Amino acid sequence: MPLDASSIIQINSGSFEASSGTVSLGAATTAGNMVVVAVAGMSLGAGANTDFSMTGFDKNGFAPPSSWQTTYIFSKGSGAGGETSWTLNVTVNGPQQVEWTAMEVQFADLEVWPWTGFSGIYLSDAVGSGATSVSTLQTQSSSSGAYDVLGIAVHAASAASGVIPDITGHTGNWQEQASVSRSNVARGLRMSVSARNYLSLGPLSVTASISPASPATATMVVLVAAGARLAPVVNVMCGFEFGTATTLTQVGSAGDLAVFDEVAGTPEVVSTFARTGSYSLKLSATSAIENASWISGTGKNLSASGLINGGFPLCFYFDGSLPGSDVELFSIESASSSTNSVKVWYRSASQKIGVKVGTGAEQLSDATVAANKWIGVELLYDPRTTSHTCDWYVDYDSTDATGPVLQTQATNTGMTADVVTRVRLGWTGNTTATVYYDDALVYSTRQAFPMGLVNIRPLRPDPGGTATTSGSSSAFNTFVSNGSMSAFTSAAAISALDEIPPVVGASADGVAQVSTDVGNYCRVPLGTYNLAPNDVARAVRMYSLGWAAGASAGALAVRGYDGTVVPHSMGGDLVDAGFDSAAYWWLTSTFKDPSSSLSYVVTQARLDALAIEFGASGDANPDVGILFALAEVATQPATVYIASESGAGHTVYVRQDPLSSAIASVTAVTPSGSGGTLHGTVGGADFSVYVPPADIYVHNIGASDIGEVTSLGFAVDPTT
Amino acid sequence: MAFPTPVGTGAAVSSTTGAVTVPYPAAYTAIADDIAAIVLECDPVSTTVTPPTGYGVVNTQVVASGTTTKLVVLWKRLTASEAAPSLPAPTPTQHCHARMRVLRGCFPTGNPWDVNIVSQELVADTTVSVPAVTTTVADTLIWTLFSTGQDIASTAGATGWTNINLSGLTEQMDNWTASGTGGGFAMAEGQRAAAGAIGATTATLSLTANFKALMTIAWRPALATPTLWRPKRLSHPNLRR
Repeated sequence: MPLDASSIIQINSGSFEASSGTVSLGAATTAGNMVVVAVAGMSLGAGANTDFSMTGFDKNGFAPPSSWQTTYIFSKGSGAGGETSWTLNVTVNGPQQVEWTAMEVQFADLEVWPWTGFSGIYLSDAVGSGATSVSTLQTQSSSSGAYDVLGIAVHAASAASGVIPDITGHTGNWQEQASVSRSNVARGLRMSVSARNYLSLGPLSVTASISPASPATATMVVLVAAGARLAPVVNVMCGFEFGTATTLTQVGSAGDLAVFDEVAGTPEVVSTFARTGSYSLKLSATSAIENASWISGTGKNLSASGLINGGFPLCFYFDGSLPGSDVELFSIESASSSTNSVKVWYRSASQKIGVKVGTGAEQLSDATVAANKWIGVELLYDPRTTSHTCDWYVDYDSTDATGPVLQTQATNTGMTADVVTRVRLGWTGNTTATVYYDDALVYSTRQAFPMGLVNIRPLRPDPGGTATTSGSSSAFNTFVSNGSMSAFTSAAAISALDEIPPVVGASADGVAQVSTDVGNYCRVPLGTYNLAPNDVARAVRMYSLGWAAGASAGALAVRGYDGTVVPHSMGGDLVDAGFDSAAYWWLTSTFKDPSSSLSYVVTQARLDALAIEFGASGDANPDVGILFALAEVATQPATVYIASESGAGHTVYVRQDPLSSAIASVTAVTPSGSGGTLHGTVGGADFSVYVPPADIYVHNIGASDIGEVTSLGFAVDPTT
Repeated sequence: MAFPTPVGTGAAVSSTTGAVTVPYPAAYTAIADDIAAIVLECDPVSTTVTPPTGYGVVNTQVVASGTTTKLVVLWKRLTASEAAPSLPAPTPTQHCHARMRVLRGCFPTGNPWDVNIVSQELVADTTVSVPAVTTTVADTLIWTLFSTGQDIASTAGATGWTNINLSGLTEQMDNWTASGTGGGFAMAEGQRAAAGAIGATTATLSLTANFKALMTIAWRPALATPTLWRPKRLSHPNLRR
């Protein structure tokens, strides 16, 4: 249920001039709803602000040092409900003039509020005398990560006694919900409360006009709708498209991220089977342990402190026949003990998948699995309380049209509240089995579950592109034969980095920085993948291998570029990157939003701009560079719905992102004897295409945000 | 030709489960060749709307993101004295909200409309702009309508219907329900004398800003009854002789 202004089911306003006053609603609150109180209060002028408190409420807001009034937004869950009034205290420099608006909001997600884990959930700004407008400022592009939020803003302005400023003209379709004013012998004060629903990640802001020009203040909070889908924060992913399993855990310097953080046994990356792309991970052992893990910690793929939740879609394959004994397929684990985890098994007795939280009861899949099929499973492990849960889906053949099936939740009580610190492919006990894995992705956003399975494809250096240097190209050389240098050329640079699997050792080729130039980067473009009409993109991970002519210290920075200003660091080190010419020195980055380190929105434009950058060496002695560049992009099929359907058979299908509702493409199908005109507005530009009778027309849009398409329709041909 | 003539509008009805009878206008008894047109709003958008027996679909438009809504217009050329239709229970549904208007003097065979257009406005605001059609015949009766998925009981969801190209543009339906997940629609009706582009019709959504499903239908008039040519009696004085 979207959270919009109609979710404010009751609202009441008032004011007082005292050290405390009563804030009230007309009717008792309902259990499970949220109470939000917007407050504006006078201060004593510059440097002498007041402050406020409401017992049991969270307070967000701002006491501006140079303004005449403060604005706050208090909020809390209404608990069991039945409340009608609360006390608002002026805790500093009271008594003061205070204005308030109380709102009861339904359909808000109380679980994520207060949302202390994210910055930008509230914002404030103030302007001094003479302001004709005031803004709440703008949230970060993915401040909440949610695709359904309600912004509530309070603007306040004050003027000399007898003058009460008007606050009007809220920008961006924000609708005023309440306006409160009062005056005393010193000042006149007005507060305006507005609200607006957003179905995209933002950024959010609202500006209001002030008349006459006056000191003004504004504050905004962002509530998330209960059940809202959130953009996943993807921590790591792998489609194994680098084509090798050689020393997958090795990095050159602290902080660099390897392909995997830990490996046991001898995993292989093979081209025998692949669900998407060309390679998969093969774990095969005879009464032995074999696995590969991503873990948490400094310089590890699952973040330094672990993940709040573990979302884990992946696919696996049994070649020829099902295993003859039980196989521990994969697991999501917490720090406190080896039993504080969820493990997924193949159970030979039932030929089903079993999911077990700690020592709890195992839940078996609702059907048997079969060999020679890519079986898809998506888990969501929630270890936040002492009752751990695991929700899961099984797709018995992830390459056919039949979708995944929700399974019975696995649970266990009496656990330790914890975070996810390890995601493991493979088994921890001596086992005889062979299992292939592909298209694995780890995310930590439970509100993105079920995200669905992903298809992970490789993007190699683009032979049609141009490799460039930001400074003199003489600072870079291409090389063959593990160090035989030549002057830099674009074609040679691209060719030197595109082998799959990468070649290390005597036959290695690559690109190296050969002279010191800290401001000089080499940028090598990667190929792209056209998402529309059928796909949406979910994540990007970039891979490289470091190289140095010798083992002594050589500085190099490596980063991914997507066309935006802020690059994605892939590691390296500006003192000693730790590379040499004999081993695999992995550098990887799973892209995050640069401003928030949260969900990364993959757009077609960003895919088109993908490149690897390296350089900035402050010594370049020995020559230092990279051998390999590859990006993997995780995509999902867009979901299809029928947007319109005439009685004569004109049908418009829309493909859209199942999380963001951004439209990937539109297909118009017309019956024989009658055509029509498909029309719409994308990015502010209108389009109109006539579709003749008995035709199928596909219009690619490739939107990355629901707001890009503002209208979409179909005009049926006249009746003849 | 002459414009189709509205006979009247029945009461709005809602259902969360089961079939619901969509009533005729008060005191109306079906007359042959009158057109019964039912405006219907439902949710979820995956709902399959099965028209009552003999009814067809003019068009359907959904809004599948935000506050979702599905707008459908059904029609039937009535037979004399037939009963008001029972709308089968849409499945799955959380609510279904419908209202009938009866028209007389529409084109007597085939589809009774000239053109129609559907659209979705994916901007959550309170301005409404229902897309234009270009009529190909004179004297069409224009319906311009929209729906939103807001969960509210209201008969004042839209105001300020404007289209300078239509005569007598007047709101005829304005019905939102809090039944189930709620939703509703508004429809204004006007006349277009000359064939041609009618331009967009604008209105103001008086409820919460929302995405909207939009539709315009140009109801096609019956051909004018031909005037029989009758030769005048010759009256030349000479013929009297």
